[in-house]
Amino acid sequence: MKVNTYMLATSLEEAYLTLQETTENAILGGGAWMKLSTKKVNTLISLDNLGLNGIKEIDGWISIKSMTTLREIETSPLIQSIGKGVLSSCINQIMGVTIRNIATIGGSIVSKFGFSDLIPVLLVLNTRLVFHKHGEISLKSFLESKIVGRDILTEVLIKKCNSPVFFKKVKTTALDFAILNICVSKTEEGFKIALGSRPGLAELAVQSMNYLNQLNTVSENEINQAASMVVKEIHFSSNQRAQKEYREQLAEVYVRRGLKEVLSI
Amino acid sequence: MKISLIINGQLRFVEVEPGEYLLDTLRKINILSVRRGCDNTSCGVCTVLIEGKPVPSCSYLSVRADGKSVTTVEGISDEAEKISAYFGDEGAEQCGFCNPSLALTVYALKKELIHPTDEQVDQYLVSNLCRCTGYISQKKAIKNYLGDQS
Amino acid sequence: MKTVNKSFPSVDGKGIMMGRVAFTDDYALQNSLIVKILRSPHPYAKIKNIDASKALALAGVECVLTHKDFPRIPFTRAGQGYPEPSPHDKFILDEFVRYIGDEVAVVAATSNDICEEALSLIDVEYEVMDPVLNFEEAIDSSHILHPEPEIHEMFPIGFEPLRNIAASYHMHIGDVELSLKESDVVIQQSFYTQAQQHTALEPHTVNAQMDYQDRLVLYSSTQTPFHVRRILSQTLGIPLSKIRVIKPRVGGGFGGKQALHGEMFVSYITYKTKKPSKIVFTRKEVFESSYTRHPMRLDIKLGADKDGTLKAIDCYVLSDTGAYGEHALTVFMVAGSKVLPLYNKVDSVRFHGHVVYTNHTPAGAFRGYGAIQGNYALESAVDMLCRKLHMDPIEFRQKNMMKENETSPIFAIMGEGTEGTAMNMESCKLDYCVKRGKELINWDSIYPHKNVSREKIRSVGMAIAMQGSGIPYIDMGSAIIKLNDDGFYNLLIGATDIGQGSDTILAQIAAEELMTSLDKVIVYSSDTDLTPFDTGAYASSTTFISGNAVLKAAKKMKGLLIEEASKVLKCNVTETDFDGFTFKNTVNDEIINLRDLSNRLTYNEDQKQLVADSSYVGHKSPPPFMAGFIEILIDRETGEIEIENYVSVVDCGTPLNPKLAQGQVEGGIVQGLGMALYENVIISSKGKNITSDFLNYKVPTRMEIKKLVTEFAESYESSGPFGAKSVGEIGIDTPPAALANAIENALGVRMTELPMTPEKIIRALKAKEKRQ
Repeated sequence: MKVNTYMLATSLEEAYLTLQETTENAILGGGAWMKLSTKKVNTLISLDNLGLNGIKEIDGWISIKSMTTLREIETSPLIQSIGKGVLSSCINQIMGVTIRNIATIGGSIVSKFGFSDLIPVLLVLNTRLVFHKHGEISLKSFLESKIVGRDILTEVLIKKCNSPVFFKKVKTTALDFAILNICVSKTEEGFKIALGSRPGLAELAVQSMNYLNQLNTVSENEINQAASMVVKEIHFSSNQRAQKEYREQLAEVYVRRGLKEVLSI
Repeated sequence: MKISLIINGQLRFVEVEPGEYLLDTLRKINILSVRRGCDNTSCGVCTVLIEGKPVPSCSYLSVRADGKSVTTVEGISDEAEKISAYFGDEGAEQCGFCNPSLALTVYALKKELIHPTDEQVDQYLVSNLCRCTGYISQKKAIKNYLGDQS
Repeated sequence: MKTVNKSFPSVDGKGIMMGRVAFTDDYALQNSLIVKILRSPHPYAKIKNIDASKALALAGVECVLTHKDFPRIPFTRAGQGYPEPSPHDKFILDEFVRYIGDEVAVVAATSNDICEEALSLIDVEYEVMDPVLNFEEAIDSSHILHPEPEIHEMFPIGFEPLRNIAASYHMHIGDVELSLKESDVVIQQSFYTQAQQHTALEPHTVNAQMDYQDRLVLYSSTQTPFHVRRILSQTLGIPLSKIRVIKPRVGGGFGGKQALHGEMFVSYITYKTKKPSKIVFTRKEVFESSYTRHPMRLDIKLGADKDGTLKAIDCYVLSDTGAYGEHALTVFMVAGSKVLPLYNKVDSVRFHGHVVYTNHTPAGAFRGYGAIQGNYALESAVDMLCRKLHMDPIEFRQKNMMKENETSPIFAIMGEGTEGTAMNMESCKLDYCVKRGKELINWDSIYPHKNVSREKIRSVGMAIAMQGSGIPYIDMGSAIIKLNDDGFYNLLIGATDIGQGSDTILAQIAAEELMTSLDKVIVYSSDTDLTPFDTGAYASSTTFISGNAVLKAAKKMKGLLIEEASKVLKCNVTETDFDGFTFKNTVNDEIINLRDLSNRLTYNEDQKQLVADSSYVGHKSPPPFMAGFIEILIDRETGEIEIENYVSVVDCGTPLNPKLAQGQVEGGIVQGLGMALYENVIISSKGKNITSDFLNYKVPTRMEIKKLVTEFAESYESSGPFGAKSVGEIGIDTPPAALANAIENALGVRMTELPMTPEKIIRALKAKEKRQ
């Protein structure tokens, strides 16, 4: 990435207005993947001095400011109150500590990377995003639309929950991007199943979730049925990491195992 | 742009470009233990400590370090010398291109984690790649170092 | 033995860990011109025109060089014995580019940014040509990579460039067709091995400067400083006497630095401009534009009798050397010569094949050097044969494999492009290695597999391997030992420490023979002005070849010392006793210590400098042997594999520094596991490497490697220094076959293509289900 000027914003509004000036201006998140971009940036806007760091609990929700690093989240005791610490075990598998010391939750979400390990987990949790101008929106709506436009993410809200969340990252080595991410939860809102690194952006398996949520009891047969529904409703494709067929196999196997795990059967 | 860095405890003023990365800045001013291996955060040989935390200097903008403390292995030479003895005992040295950054990360680990498990140590050091040793000798050396120092 | 067979820390380990100036780029002058290469975006094209005027107009650009600036001398970048067994098929720059990443033009400028901008300002007009991207279709393709008339082989290697053949070979012993016909059981299988990248953490790096005598001084991250000096002189026309090559510490080589990569460019630029210059490859350049391992297809047939006697081995190899024929023949040869003798009791053997040109990144030397490819195919095929024979694979090997004091006729027939060298296995503890490894992996309680849960299976697999110790009659190492006042020594060696610890081991050899302590031997290596000749760090040669040279020089020094001491002590040489520190007249018990003797020789009486030198050329290449055993956990529904343990039992003669020898074995094992399971250079249908960084090319991390158990067999090789053989490569050979065998032992599917990814395992399982 080539950078013309670096601006240390003194207020969110200043950062926002500078961002609107031209599409060649950009917000600096953690900067972990800046090197992968060949883009030319006119003004790189830094949010480092805006106090957008920190994790706290508010009324049954965990609030994470957007510039909080992945490492800070991973090691925060507050995070353990969400899905029995699923965010820690997920983030723990994202590259190494050094990169997690710079990568931020805001950057991880707004980049909408297909390879994101974090997004599928946040999808099966109750996650809401707060933008400077647009205000609050669910993560699902943010991923599915472009309504937010060129705004600045300031805060991520995640509902606390006590139930276990299954997360599996299928990968080649510990430093690899996922071949497939599989995430399954059962909370008071019912079952949720998300698949990431399909290799496209993570999605919820809505039909399969609906099927499970209208059942009175879920046993082996229904689990198998739900797992095969996932393969039919979610679109998988091929890239250098795996072919479509293998991703389908993995999805079926791990959705099945995930459902069993969250149901303890 | 002119920035100030507290490099290994010493205040230095350095002229940098807005898009310049810390790895280039440090090598430019002759801090040569910080090396370029992959240039995209994956190998670990450019690791430095910013305010005590290990980060990949290849992908960390120099302007972001303005006013901050930057530690390289030159700043922890007593500790590096100790660690090297443990590596020597296990034959874990080999080419050594990655060893200054590994020593630095082990040092940061020791400060951050209390009585870590073997798996926690491996996870902390996972992005310090080594192509020479096959890792096991390094793991033994690091385990012995952490055990003796705690 | 006081100093050898002991695990001393590396002599350079502490300083390197403390971040001292050590590696090539650390020695570059701050005002060096930055050199960068414009690389081809096409797999095959003719350069019709290069317009560098805009780049040259840029402030800070020193020069832009194209093929018109360099003498048109065909050469090979391979750093091998001269004349090389590689064809001279490359020009420093050419009007043709033959792979994506091939060199088009070179820029030197005052900064990195200016250099990059200059590269983007060079207009190149290409005539794009049809590439050869499938190595199985290369021979007699209508697209010829090397039609140029000047290129040539240095001696017959089966070079037929107009057929896209860089080298070819055929040998046979006995009548293979007949033996196969007479065998009770025959198996036949093709195996495919992939391109693997060395990924030494230090990228290829060179810098150059003119010294105050107006000589060209090069710091190079190389495995072969003396070959670098020779090739630079031959191609650039700079007198050899005007070039000095210094190899500082090297951040890993593994064969990738057994060639010239940026040396020609910085040398030319500095020699012409008289300004210092440097090049540091980007990681992308290392992946796209240095070397890979030669991908191969190996077609194997084995025949055996019902009682498990192996009768015939037939092997055809097709090897892909990419755009240039560097190490083409020799890597291919090793796939046979350092694999097939493992089974030396067969009636007949045939080994033949072709090494072909394609528009891929050139293949070159890489640890294992063909042996890992050959081992994967042969040791997989042996297990397949055992399955058909209903025979235990370990019993089969014990019955058919090489034993101590035996030989194989292959040694005499297959050499490095020339005839080989007959030899008996004076040291071969392969039987012990197999027996011990079997115990360590707990074979009998796991083989073939155990069900751990509904999903997971535990299984074991194994393979045996051999390598060599240098190339007989070609590889030469030499050493100079100098006595200093105060009684310590300088050991000057051409041998090239690239991280394997040869400086330490060679100093240990000298210290042992001189009966002194290791700190009294100050080692300095790999400087073409100051150290004697050595072919370099390759072919598992340093401990054996350079080590023997050091031992001979130390013996000579000991003789000189005793001679001088006997003069002082006024007795005969035979009456003078020396324990490393004190000389004693055994007749009258008068003594003088080494320190006093050396001070006296330096300052007081009969002053002289004591220097002993020696060189060594091998007359044989005693192979190290090993047995490798793997234990895995495999998920039958996803194919995911966890490596639980890898046991290596190695016969490398006397391990001179057991911990460093263990490091060589284990480093090799993990690179071999990488090749078996994770690493893959993927080339797109357009010929582009799409795995040119560590985010996409997966080398093993410390998380995948949980347990390695490495032991050495008691063994003594009388031709080696203090009984040692070499150990640099042997570790890499067994993992692919051992893992393939473990997978079959778990799931009953045979993986015939590397890497054996979980996805391929599932595909094979599904294909098997369909067949049943």
